[in-house]
Amino acid sequence: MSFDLLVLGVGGQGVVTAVKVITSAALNDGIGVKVGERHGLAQRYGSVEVHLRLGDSWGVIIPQGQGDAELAFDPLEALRGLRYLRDGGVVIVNEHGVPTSSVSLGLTDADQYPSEEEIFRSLEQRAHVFRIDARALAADGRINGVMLGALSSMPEFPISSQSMEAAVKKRIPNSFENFLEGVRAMEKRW
Amino acid sequence: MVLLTGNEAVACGATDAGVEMATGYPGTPASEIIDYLATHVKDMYVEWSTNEKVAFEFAAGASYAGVRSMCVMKHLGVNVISDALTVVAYTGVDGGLLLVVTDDPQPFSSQSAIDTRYYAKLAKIPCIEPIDGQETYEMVGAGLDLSERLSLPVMLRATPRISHARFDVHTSAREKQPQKGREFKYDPKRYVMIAPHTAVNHVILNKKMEKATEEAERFPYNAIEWADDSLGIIASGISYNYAKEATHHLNIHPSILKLGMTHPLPPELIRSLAQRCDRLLVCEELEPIVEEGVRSLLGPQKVYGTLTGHIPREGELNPDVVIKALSTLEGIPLKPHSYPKVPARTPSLCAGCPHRPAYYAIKKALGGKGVVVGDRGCYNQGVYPPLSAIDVCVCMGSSIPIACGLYQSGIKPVVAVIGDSTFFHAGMPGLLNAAYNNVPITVVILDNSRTSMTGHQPNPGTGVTAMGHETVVAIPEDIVRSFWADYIRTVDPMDVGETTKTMREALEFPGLSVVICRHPCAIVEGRYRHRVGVPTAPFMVNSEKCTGCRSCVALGCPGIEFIDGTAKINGRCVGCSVCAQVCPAGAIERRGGS
Repeated sequence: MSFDLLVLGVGGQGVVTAVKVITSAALNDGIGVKVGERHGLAQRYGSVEVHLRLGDSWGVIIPQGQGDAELAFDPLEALRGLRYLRDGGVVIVNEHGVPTSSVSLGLTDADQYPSEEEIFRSLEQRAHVFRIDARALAADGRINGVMLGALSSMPEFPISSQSMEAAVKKRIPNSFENFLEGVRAMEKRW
Repeated sequence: MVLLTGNEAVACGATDAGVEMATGYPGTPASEIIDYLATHVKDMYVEWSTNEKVAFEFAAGASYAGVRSMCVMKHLGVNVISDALTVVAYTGVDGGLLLVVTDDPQPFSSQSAIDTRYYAKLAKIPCIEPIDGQETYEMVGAGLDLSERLSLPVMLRATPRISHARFDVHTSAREKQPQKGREFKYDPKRYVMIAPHTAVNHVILNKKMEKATEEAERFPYNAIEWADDSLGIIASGISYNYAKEATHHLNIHPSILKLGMTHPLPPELIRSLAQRCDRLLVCEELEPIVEEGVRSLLGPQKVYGTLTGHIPREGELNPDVVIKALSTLEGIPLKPHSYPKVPARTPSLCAGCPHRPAYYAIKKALGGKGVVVGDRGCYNQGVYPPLSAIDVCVCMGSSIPIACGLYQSGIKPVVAVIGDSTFFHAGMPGLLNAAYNNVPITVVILDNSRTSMTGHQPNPGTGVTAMGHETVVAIPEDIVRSFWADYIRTVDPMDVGETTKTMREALEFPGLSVVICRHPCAIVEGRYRHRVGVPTAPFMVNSEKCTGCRSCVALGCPGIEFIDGTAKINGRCVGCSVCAQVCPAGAIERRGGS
């Protein structure tokens, strides 16, 4: 068995914590894990790109065009990670992302930046895209629980929902309600 | 089975292999090794040293006393220790001495992408390279054993894809090493490295390398996996995984020599692979060190790799690079991919960072003139627009000497900006030199009393050691005063007016001037507020007063946005008030009005 997952977002969104939840759930199910992530430094508000490889794999970087799914906390980051996804792979993406600082500070012309519609069109050309409004579903604004719930409800995802639930309860107990919101929002859509 | 980062695997490996002393200086991606040992391990002496050279010499001293020791740094630190490293190779070691080095081939967070394996060759010490977390864990012990057998320091080289990656690892505490007699054996011909002794030890060192070559032939992490004869791959460290992934992807089955030791190389293993295989591809990151070694054994005829352009010499490798190299070499067509271009996200100084107003004040005081020489730390993020606050940044401690050189060449005014940890690390000799040689530059010390960029490690200015013991506090003002700087002022950079005034005064002062900007790191302050329950009081823009002049935008704060002609403050605001101080229209107010 192998399942290659990309977890993508922006520093400060709780991506690395979400990854820790997934890996501890995987270990609980006896599934081998390798994680390649970039962190450290003053990477605040920078892109966070995590390659999470479940089951049989070699290195910690997913070869281009081989990833099974993306869990993207931000549409622009979903687009950035697209090169690693196989054709027809799954993208679970939070609809409302974090604008880049050059855009929010008015330093970049808006036309140099792909519009939300362009982003989703590019994503949909290659992948099965599932949009989720994580911010609206997270009562406390912490979106990682919602995103984990959405991932957990995916039928092809190899980690059991029991292990995911337990890992969320253990690692981010305050986000358990958000997790259930994510499951409910997605479970009928697959 | 536990999930460990490569750094945690080093730490656990050290604990289980009987390391009794670990020293280091923080640097991405190596920092978490000492962090982990300092917070998780009881019966080990762990220290953050003032710089890497100090750390290595400390570890060498422990080794001379028979203690197993480990010294940890990023690749740039090896530049700093090179003087000591090359001599400790001559003296040899007593207790095993493992030098753990993390290279940054991409680089993700470094000013150069040097290949530290050259240092292993230069100093004549073995270099070992793990492929994953399990090997990292095991190689710490194997490296220490090797160090003791050869009486040489051993370098364990990792990269971010090991150090910051997570792997499932099986750990098993080794049998506790019988403690060697802790004594220093009187032997001046070995330990006092004066020229006549050096000449003798030079011969001994070269003999040790011959023995190391024999060790390499039977090193358990060097191995040939036999398969097809047409192509052979030689892969070291993390590149081995990329080679395995690539051959799997292309459905080819070359024989592979996996190298866990890249200096010295095992000539017999290489020759036996070459005898069977028509062509050899060498996969290694950065410099063609293995490839050149293979060529010197076999000649260049059938050896492919970096020198033939199949493997790039810059940047980290990945499976796709190796897939491309193999497809070129084997004539396998690849499906072309194309992907949309995506704009990059630039990291910035945090909202509330005290370096921002310090830079703002320096720029204001300079009024568009002069040169600002930065140094290594978070504060080099100040280079990005719109702050665009530094003009030069080279290596640890270089700001003050470079500023002096500019000044004496007629470039005026010149400001050197250096953080507290960098000042203690390598800044002090530069400042002493400026005082001694009477160069009237302005030096700004950004003092947040922590080594913040790498994870807020303590340093001599913090008042606490790595292991959490209270200790002396080195005060930059006292050090500067003893260096006879003529103008010394301390400011809180969060007071923009006062800081700007002081910067102007310092620039106008005819002698060497030093301004110390003291304020805690915004992250540390935020955590403290959270812990003691003091809420932040964020700001907002009164849109009726905002004239759209963009004065606040010039600060480059991630808490400020500029939309449809007016400024807005978003949820990242921590209430530092700097933007409110610089707004000429008084349009930025505290939420709730207080």
